[in-house]
Amino acid sequence: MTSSTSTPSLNEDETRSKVYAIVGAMAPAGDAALADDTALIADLAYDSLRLIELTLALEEGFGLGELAQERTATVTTLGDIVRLVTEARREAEARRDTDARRETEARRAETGR
Amino acid sequence: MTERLRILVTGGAGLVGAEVTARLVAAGHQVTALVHHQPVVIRNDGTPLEPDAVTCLPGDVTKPRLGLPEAAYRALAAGGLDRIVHCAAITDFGLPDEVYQAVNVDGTAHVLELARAGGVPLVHVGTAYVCGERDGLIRETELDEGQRLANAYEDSKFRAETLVHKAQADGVRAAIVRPSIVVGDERTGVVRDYKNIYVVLKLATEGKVRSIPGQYEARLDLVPVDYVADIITEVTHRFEEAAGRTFHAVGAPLTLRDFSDVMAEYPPFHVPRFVPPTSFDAQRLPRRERAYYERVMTLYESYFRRRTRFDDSHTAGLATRRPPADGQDFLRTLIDHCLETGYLGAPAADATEVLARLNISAPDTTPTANGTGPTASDGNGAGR
Repeated sequence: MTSSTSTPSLNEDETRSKVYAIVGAMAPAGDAALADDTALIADLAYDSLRLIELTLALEEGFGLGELAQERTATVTTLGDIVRLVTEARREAEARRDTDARRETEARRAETGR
Repeated sequence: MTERLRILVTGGAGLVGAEVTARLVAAGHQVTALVHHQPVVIRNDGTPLEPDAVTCLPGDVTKPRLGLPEAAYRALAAGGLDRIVHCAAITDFGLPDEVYQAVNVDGTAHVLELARAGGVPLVHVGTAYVCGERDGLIRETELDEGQRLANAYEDSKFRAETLVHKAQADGVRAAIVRPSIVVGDERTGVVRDYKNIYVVLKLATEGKVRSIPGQYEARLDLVPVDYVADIITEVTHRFEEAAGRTFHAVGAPLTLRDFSDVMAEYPPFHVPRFVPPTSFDAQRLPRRERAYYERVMTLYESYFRRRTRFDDSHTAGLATRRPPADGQDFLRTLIDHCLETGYLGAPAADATEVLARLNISAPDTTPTANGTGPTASDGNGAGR
């Protein structure tokens, strides 16, 4: 079993459906059809302010921490968001793993005293 | 106006360009609108210009020969034009530096080449904010006063105007019109695109940005798009009087205190607090407000500190129309229109509200999300 399948939180299909749900619910053009190549601005009528609010929703909804502007600036389609969120979730997961390991090590060091 | 002129308007589909094109067409001139993405000229109030009233020429000012086929360009350069009105420009803030260079600076250089090749009088549309961060009275005769330019937009427009001056020294005949912050129609408040100052108004009145580093005495100059188009049209018509001179197309200056006072008249609006820049710390803002501050407000921050005033005696001496006498009244007209269209006063659900509606909660409990995701996405599918 690879590490990505052992952690259900990193499942890409699940990420995709949740991204679709959030992007669709926040879209100014609310009843548009959604696909990976759907353009946020041209198809869903997002403007610069609504895109900022979407970033906040993705951060909050996926527990990602702050998404840097350089990373969100290149996003134009739903598929781009799925990729960005998948990546950011892996990083967040890795951070949590590292933190957990550090904690265990710290605890071990304490009990070893 | 008896003489029928052959006029090329660059940026003919843009906010100012479309209004200028419409006026020149109405005056009976033969107008060619250089357009980029949009093949039709749509006026500020949303009505398209009759397709046979104006020739739309697809082109690109960032390219040599304005991106035109060689024959078409040669026809324009070889005595095919009586005037060029150069409106094409990027006025959005926060774009990569290359974009401003390509459109605003290189674009102006390419337009100047055409003016030089054809000996065509040029009306260049600049911005009053080539004054950069200078305080106090800004005169139409001033350009390079050693000022600091606040952003890539101002810098590019400064360099574009400098190119026009150099070309004038080489014999190109030009007049410059410098609008300030272009906003909606003086009488109706109607505006086609909500940009720049409108975005700031939206963030402030919706309470997304509650404190802004700035000074209540700082001044912003808002000018109605129809007034700007009138001045450009007048300068184009009376080029012999206007040649070699610069005209401020500016409105009534409003202090940030004036803004606050008007905003406070509208019950649903939040009114931001302007705090001294020295005691403002973005890191202390809540996450949501900080996101809006960092991604939007920082682009405009320098305008909330300037106490600029524009002298427009050249314009007053040439044009019959004068700008709005009362800045606060004009601001009310603009806001009323935004309320009518729903741009202001009816904020869309924010991130937290949307997540709650979707039943998406904290991410650490991952398995439940498997259930909510597909259901919600089916809901979207139903709208197809």
